[in-house]
Amino acid sequence: MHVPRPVRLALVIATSLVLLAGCSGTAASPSAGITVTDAWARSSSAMASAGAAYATITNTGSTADALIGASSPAAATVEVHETVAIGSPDASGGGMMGMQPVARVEIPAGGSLQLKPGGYHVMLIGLVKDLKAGDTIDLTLTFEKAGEITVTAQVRAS
Amino acid sequence: MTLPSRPASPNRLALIAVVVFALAAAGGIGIGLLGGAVLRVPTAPGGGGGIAWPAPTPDPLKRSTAIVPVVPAPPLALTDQDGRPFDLASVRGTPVIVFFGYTHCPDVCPTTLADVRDAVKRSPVPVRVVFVTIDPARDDAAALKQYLSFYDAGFIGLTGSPAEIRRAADAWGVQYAKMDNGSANGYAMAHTADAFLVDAAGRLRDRIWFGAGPEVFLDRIVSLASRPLPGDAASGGPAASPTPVATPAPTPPAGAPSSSPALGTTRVLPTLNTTVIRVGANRLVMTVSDPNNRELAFPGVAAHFTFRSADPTVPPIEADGFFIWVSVGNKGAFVVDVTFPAPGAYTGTIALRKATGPIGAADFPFSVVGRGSTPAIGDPAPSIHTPTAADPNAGENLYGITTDVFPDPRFYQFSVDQLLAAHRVFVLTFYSPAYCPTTACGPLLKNMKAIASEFPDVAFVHVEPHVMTNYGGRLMPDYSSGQLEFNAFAKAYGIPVEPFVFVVDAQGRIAASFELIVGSDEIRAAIRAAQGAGG
Repeated sequence: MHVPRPVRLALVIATSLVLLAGCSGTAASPSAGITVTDAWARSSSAMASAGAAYATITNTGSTADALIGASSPAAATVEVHETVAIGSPDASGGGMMGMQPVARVEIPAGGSLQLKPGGYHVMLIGLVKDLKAGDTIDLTLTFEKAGEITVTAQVRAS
Repeated sequence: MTLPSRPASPNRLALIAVVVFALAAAGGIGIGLLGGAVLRVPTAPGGGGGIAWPAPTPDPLKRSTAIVPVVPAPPLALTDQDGRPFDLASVRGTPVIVFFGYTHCPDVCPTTLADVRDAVKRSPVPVRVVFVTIDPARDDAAALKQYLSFYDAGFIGLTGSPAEIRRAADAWGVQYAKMDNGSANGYAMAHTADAFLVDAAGRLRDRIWFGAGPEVFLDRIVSLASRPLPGDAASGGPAASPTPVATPAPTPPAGAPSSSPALGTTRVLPTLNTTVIRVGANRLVMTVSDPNNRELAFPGVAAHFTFRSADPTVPPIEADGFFIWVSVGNKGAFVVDVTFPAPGAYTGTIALRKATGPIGAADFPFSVVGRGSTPAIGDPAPSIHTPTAADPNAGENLYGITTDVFPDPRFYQFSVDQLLAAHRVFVLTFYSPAYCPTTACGPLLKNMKAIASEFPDVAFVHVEPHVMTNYGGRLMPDYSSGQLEFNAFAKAYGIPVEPFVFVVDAQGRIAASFELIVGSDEIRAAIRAAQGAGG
């Protein structure tokens, strides 16, 4: 369960960097052209094993960048996961969804990455407290080139 | 809005292949997945990259979720969140949403549970929600209770032994497998993420895709009433009436003289959908099927009726019926206008024929009473103060006085007593869009709204006929007696069933009345006649 993996390593590094740098509160890293918008987390009981947060990442720069980790003071451990459809999404026999952590998600120059339900998401494992609709949490996304970008995520019921 | 299905990029296909391989491994024993995998994000729609993105579904509400053919819901008998045995059959009478998932699920299950919670909150009818874990190793009753109470304390969580869960999932066509993916959250479960909608009769009706959103769930729940099934014909009949005035026989006795070469050879099973049959003018509605439950009422089929009184001094009455749709393209009926001269026992005969020859015929017994419970044609319409938008309890969206999800304000503008005092021609509809217990009800109010738009000078009134209580801004039936009870408005008009529609002329007299099955053209004709007579 606690196999150290590159993804975990990246998170540890990311978390350390955040602690060193502090939360800038900015949502953009102009040098690399990464912008994080529409960050939100789904309301969740702290008793639930994990919550999820979502956002839209836009790369307006001229070179590709990659999401390599995430962190938040709202949870003990934060991982980037992807939910994937398995088999045919059509009604007969398909519709199965699975999920796994991802270490690196590339965002091409001029492209965007949407973290959304049923796709890439930030998994908040070990919530510090209940995420109640209307609350906000800080969410730091770490990029290969742009470094950390901290945004305020709104907690929403759906 | 979430795309109904995510497109598969080449990278995604590779990923899926890995996952499928992992699932194929017996028991899903831990296979590390993509510990350091590098994933490329597909270029945005319309961008380069050579990835073929499917055209977005224009309207998710139009995407079909219907399960055809309709079958009974598979068995589901497990242990609930309080540790008690639970059987899906025990919630018969209420639509049920069934969803399989697990509590360590941070993305898919919360998305679906939030969609379902939002839909159920807005549903005009009560809906039960059943969440079945496919991770019994971690999800005991207490874990389910804790997890579900965050969404809605009324949600039912089911668990059981691994073998019981596998059996239940197999019966529902639900797949799942363990994915040891190295997450700090422990292993994940891949599982079928579609949700199922079971109707109040316990039949599996819809399979709703992941990410459909609350609107789709709400639409499918609300539309159950307007998606009748052939087998529902009987429930649209007089059996729904708690106190039938007549004694109709949906099925003729075996060996009844219902067929002869001259009358056709198909065995006809008639259902009389009229309970108020009185001396004087009547409108009888009959649905017909064969023993295999196939519809026999279609446009182009002619129905001839003969009515014989048990009293030999009363001469037989011959009359032709006319066809109406109960549900357009799906179910039809024959209407016959007939005047009975005397009360007593009668035998009716319906003979069906098409252009190429006779189809079949059947007899049906019924009784004619001297005076029915509802006001007769020409009687004064009872003056009652019916709910209007001006009432303090009308509430937001008029949900305090109607169970129509999309109420037309015009139907709640005036009360019956106001219209009688103003000598207006009006149409009074007793009907509960959400709680009407028969399948004939579905599109009635929608049809009436369309008719209303054609008659700007005529007033339209919709009245909920049942005793209801306002719970948090929404009307819910008072089931204290164990069944729907008619309210004072319905009793003032003596209706034994709903829907019931009255057309009232400018003199305040009943110009026409329609019981249970209502043809739109019949309403139009009755309004025109009332306008002409009103002068």
